[in-house]
Amino acid sequence: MAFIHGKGTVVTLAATDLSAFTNNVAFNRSADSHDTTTFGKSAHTYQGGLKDGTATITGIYDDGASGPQAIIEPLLGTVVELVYKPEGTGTGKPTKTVNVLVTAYEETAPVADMIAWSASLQLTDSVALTSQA
Amino acid sequence: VNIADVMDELGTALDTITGLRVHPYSADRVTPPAAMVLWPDPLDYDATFARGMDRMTLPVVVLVGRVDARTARDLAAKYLDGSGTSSVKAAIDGGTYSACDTARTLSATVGAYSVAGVTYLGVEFQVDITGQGA
Repeated sequence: MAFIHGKGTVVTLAATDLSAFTNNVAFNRSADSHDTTTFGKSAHTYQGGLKDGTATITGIYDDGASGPQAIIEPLLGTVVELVYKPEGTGTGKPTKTVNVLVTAYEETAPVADMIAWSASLQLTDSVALTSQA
Repeated sequence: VNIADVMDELGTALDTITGLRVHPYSADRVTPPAAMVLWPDPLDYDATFARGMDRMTLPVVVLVGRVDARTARDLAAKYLDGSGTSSVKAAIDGGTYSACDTARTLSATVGAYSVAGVTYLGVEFQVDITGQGA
């Protein structure tokens, strides 16, 4: 067991590797909770329900044909495949693959810094967690 | 990013300022007015994943003459201008670069700088550089 640095993270959206333009991935998973409390209980009880999740990718804007604007903006409102390798590429390392609805693409252009971008993704259906061969 | 190439290209950009002697390195002897492109401070790797982008701040020191000379003050003021033919910011920000993606003059500080035992009035410009990591 070891701590893992994030610099090797790989993120691919719709089969395009965006890693070189990306500096943060927030991969959030959640589950519905259903209150099953009945009379006579002194505390709430719950059961789990459907799973859900979102992902947010952020990075530095690039004007290339495989850059974030050229790739992500046309995907707004569509469902595509997200491949997220938090530990990077290598045998035995995890890969999370899931379809996502691209719900937002944002560019931020500050006067005194690089143009940044952010994409919001709604996970749709199950997340497949596999080990890389 | 090859740092030496970036320093050379900054030197080329500064060469467009008439009369300024440009050293794209830390010279041990200068004749003012002279500019030196110094080592990055700091050089930050991994601004994005997968060695996509590195970022650094390069100091550029312009020495103009004796600290107490009015002519040195006036010359320093020209180099500090935000625009014009003697503007260091205009020369650097308007340069052509292939060794990096962007070069932008962030700030400048006026002070006394000693080179080879001689103290000069000088201006230290901080230049923000971004480029490909791999």
